[in-house]
Amino acid sequence: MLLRHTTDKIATRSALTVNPAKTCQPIGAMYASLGIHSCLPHSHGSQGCYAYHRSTLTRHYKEPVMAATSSFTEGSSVFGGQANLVQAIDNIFTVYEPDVIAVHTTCLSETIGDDIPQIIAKARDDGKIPSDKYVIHANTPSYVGSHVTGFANMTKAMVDYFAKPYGHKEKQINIIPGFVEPCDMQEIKRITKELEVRSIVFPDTSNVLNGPQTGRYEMFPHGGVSIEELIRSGSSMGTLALGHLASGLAARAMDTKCKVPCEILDLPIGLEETDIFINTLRKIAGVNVPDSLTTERGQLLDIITDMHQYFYHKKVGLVGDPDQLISLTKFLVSVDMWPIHIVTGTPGAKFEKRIREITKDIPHEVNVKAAGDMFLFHQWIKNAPVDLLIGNTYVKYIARDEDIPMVRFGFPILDRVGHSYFPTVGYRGGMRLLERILDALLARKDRDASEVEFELVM
Amino acid sequence: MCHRSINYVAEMMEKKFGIPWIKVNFIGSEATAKSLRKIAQYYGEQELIDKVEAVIAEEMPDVEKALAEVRPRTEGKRAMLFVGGSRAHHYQELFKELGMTSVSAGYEFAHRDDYEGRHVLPHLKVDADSRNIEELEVSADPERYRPRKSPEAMESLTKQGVRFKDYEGMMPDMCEQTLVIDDISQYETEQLIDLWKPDIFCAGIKEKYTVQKFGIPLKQLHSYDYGGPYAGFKGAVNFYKEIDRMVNSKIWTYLKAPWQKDPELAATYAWE
Ligand code: SF4
Repeated sequence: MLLRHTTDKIATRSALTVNPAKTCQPIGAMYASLGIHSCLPHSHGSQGCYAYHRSTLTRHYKEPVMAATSSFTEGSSVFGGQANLVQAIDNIFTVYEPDVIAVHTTCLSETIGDDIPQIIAKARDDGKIPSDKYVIHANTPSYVGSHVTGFANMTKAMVDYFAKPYGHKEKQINIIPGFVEPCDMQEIKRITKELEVRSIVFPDTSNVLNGPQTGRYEMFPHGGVSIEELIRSGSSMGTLALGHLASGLAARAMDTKCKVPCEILDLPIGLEETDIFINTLRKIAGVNVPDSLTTERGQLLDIITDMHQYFYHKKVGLVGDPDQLISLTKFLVSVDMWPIHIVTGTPGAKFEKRIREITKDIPHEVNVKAAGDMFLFHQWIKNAPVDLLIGNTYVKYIARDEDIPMVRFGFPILDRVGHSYFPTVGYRGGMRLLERILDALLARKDRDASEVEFELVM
Repeated sequence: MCHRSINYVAEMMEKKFGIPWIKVNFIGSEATAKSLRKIAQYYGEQELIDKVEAVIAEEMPDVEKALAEVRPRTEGKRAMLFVGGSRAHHYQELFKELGMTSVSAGYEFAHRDDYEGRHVLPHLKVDADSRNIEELEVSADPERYRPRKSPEAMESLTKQGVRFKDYEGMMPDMCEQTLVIDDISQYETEQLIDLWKPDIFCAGIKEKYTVQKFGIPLKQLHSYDYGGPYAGFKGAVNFYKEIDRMVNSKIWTYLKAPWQKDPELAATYAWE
């Protein structure tokens, strides 16, 4: 009972967060940066932040996560980090030779008030940035928002720095896949390709953070969106952004800057959201949906109809990020499950409103909170138990104490593999999610069934 | 026990040992109550009769509560049942309680009396098939034969409405305009589904996924789809809930993809 001090008595808290259901902005920014080909993320702050961000990403992906830091000391904390950053830019381009350095700030440099564009300009004036290389930046103060905000900010920076206005003439569509796994980005590209729609996907961490073991280390793997593509994204017919919170910002910035219109959808997790994604692509690109995708859809539906009895009215507790949770909640409701406790650490009033709307027909009290934490989530569970937990690795403490089956989903997953290889978006992703949900529920049934009730066939 | 063989066995037990038999059925809450009363009536002991009434009075409120909740959602829906061993007949009781119509039913290995009742037995013609089956002849056991009731008592019970060695078969319980089909084939199944679009189909595992590919839920009545039990009062409540789940789920509305519902295409990139 590691969480034995959690009681079922819920007290109102206005200031204290216990066991947060989020992490900090730079992590998202660092992850997004890695989705640009030949980009080295740079953390403008102290070494501690950067160590934490790299560790978390590394543990989640079990892949090299390279980044640089301004290595603030007491001196830079007082006088600002300009000297450190200029020096870092010089060192990085000299030693590691990336095409891009993507600078994000930290709590410390934000509090000091370092003006990053001014520092970058200084580095350029000082001749520290080779003419064919780029330094971009995003402000990622971690006392605002969460890792999702950081991802959104850095993705917007790609538009701000690279997208070139050119009328929206090219027959291609920008797709901003959201804060999803590398394999999810790959799956979104595969679906787009099956539809024969030309696209520019950014950021794109596929083949970067789910790379193969080859016996040779490459600091800048083959994946990632290229600078050339990012520049051309400004001349696309339109932008399809997936996930309002993670991708909306960049999509709107693209519209403002390059007059490329955008459509912002929910993440294509589950049958209905994938339907919407594919149907939107079909309509805006004027293409036909190939039978191969319709077949995948039918296969997902087949699992739903075949195994419906095991989903039906099962209560679920969810922890995660808003974009994921909105689509996942919809998916669970669509197979007649009851998500009744839903918490995200990321703030935002819209989240609660949308979840309420999605769960309005569930004849059970539904608890939802943005900017909530896992302590509260655990208390909800003590008051109204659930059959299944879905969330990141931190949820396993609750799963263990309360003896509830759990499916790992979201960020970070520190104790399993698979999430970077097997997508949860698209119809195939939906199949995988259901497979894992069923596995968790049925394994529990097998474990708990009496000798009389134990079933061979299910 | 297998309903098909039980009549023969009961018949032989009566001949050999003198044990009379009546037909009972515990599928359906009404049927369960009726069967319990029949049994009590046979023994005629007041204590047992009172106990049976007490059990029924205790169990029925839960049944009625469940029905009140479920029935508004199941009323008027249509079921088909093709499953042997009397199930195709007796599960109609449960559907009736749910306000559903059993529009078609049949068995795979039935005998004529399963459909038409035991009164047809004397008129059956022996054909090539039945000739091949050995007739088991039993007679009163010289030592163990002991009629459980005197002829007068039997007579009096019969007058009170206890119907010994009787089974009316499935057909009298089915409505007008319904179809009874023996040993249904795949082709007939497809035609039936096309014709009547049932809300639920009851059969076994081999039929399950074929029927479901038509977008119609199939409830197994052999293994109960690893659910149940469905006999007795509590079983009836289980069944109501299960059928409610199956005939009212939104999952069957997802069959068509948006591009199949609305194949019209925008001429080209809509943003142009
Ligand atoms: S919350 Fe702020 S100080 Fe802490 S690791 Fe994140 S950026 Fe650094």
